[in-house]
Amino acid sequence: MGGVRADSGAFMFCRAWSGPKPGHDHERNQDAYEVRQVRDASGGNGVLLAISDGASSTVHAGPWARALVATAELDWPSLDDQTLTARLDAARQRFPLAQPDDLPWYIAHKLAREGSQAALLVASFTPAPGTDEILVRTVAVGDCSLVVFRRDGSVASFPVSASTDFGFRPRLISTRPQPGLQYDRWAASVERGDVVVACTDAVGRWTLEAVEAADTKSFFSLLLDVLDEDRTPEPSMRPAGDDLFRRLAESAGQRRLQEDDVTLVLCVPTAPRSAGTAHDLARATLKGHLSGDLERLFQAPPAWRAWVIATVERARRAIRLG
Amino acid sequence: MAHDVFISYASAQKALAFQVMERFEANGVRCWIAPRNIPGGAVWVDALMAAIRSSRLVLALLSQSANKSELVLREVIHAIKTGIPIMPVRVENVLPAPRLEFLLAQTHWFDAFDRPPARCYDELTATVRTLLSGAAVAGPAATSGLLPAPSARPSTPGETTETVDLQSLQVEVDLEAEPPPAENVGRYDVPMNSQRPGCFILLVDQSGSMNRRIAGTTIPKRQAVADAVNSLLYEAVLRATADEGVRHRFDIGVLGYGVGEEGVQSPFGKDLAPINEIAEMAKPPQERVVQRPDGHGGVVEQAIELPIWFEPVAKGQTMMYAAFERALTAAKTWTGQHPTSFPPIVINITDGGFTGKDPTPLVLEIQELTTQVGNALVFNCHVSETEGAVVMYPGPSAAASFEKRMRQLYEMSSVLPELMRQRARERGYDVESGARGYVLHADAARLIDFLEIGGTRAMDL
Repeated sequence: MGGVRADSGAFMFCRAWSGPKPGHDHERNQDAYEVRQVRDASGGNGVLLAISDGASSTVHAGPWARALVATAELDWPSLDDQTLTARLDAARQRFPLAQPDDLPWYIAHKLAREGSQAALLVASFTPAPGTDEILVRTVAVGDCSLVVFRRDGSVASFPVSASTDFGFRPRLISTRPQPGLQYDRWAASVERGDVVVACTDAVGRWTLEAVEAADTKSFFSLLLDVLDEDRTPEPSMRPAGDDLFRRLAESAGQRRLQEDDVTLVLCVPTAPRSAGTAHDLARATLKGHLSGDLERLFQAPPAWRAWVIATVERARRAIRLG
Repeated sequence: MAHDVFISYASAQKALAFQVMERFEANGVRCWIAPRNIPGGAVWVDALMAAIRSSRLVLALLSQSANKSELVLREVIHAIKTGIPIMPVRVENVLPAPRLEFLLAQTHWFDAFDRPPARCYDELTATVRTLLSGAAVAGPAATSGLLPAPSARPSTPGETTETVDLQSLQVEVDLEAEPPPAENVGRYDVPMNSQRPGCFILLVDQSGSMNRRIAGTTIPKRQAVADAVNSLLYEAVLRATADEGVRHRFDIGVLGYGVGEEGVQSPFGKDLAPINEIAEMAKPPQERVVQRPDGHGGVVEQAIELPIWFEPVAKGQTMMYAAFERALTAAKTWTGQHPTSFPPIVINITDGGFTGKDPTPLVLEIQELTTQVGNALVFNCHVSETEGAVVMYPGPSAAASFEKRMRQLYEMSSVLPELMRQRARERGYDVESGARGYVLHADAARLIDFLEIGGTRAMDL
């Protein structure tokens, strides 16, 4: 559950899909995400990505996950622990707790003891001044993950670096005060040709298993399929089709996809955009990773092709404006 | 020596074992078989081991159930340790479990599943009589039915011609030098959820002696035990609670013994109830102060609002047999309905010996119930007024010094699966290899800890 609230920025193409575990409807999806373009403090463009996984072992975890991603700001990854804790405290205070008298005793007791809990990852993407690179800063509590597939074929992931590190007891953010809460932080830069994927734990484990098995083709193939079917224009809210879990599970082949809500956010750097739409560039990048031939991406298109693409683009804009 | 042959079997083969025994005895072969030959008042397992030592031959009936039987394994190991010849008899066409294969790979086996039973009995009886007479029998199956172990058989049947006598059935395995066989069957790694719920059965002594004080406090044992039971139920309800209410993650039974017309009664009106129903049966919370170990050898007191299901009652006798009988019936039915779930965990809380019949055979039968995840587990908690004498999770070396009643409870306790052993270690307990789910002279804090490690923590897999 979540949304892409604005065009993700000239430098980044973003799409997100989220679906509940099999047999559950979307209301019971306890994952949440938010992707939005924002102005940073210096007036520049930035893209905020927040993804959260409500802990199903706690109550009201879905609403808490949605509250967290809605509250997250572009500067969270850059804040010190104390300031970030203060921001989370503010989110806790705004979170509308149900009145115990209205609840069955066991839900009231559980809320009083544990609160609602969720894992959270917040990433900020900002263009690096004077270059085509994009700076990525992330902060996380728990096992929502960010995986970067680089154009040279290497892969980096944060905060979980191996599929076996996904555990049953990740750190979580509670609606109850947590003065000693620890945060994981990471910073990197990405560029055109790289693919960034943020995901909740079931997809994260599945993705890292694919990486460890040197079998990322099924992963990129699935991303391409899902992207091709996603006809909704930017910006849009886009819950995944009901069958996202099934499709992920099927493409996992021998690997087992843990029965869980699934959320996947795809971010592809698009600057410098030589020709075509952001969607075209994202697609070409995914295809490049799928075929292992990314160099073609960076070759200048023939002049006649550039003219055709530019003309089609102008026509599209004209139709939209009309 | 009062008998020749000790018959080792899993409880699923009890009827078959008794048929073999009758055929043997009709032909002059003297048998020792449980429970017929267990002397009154004896510690069940001690009596079995003594009977093995005074046998000339141990006949081990091997089957799917025997592959999962802790007791059959222990009997085979004891025969090897004491030099008693063993004749494994396959009564089902299954390969031995790796641990049995490891122990019995060097001896000869009798296959008793591939021809009519009457012929099998005749051949088996004749073979055993010949061996006991001191003569040798010649292989292969055509004459004696004795074959090399399944893993050591030649690919072409009938190639083996070696002779076998009683002495050659003596198994020589260096149990110290070779890796020991696994202690528990199963992985015990499947989480309990609404697709595959878990099962807990608490048996609670409510006899008159539970009115006495429990170590570490001034409150009576009945109250400390009721608090511990209500705490476990409370934790189970909270663990099963989700947005939509209480999920059916566990079936739980609480059987108090010593009260009621039948000597056993449940606060839920049935022997096993789903946790979602149990949640709705809670009586209004009471403020209780419970003790817990602080992890550094001390104790902390914690005041909690505890809903009440189980009342602190103590009168009557220690009807432990009747309680285990009900637990066995409930666990057997449940296991049949949940073949892929974590197996049942039965926890017996008592302050001492039982009245009347020895429940050990029932316990052994419970321990042989299996799901795909492992055997059912039975743990025993002995609560006591004796201060400072607590022994948590004893293994064979600690148990050697136990007096009879305490040894009986020790023998009725399952070996801790690795997962629980690890959790016990995390709580600071020194857990030796082969340690059992047993606590002796538990005070109020250790009682709570014992139920958490063997109960509530298993809910969190």
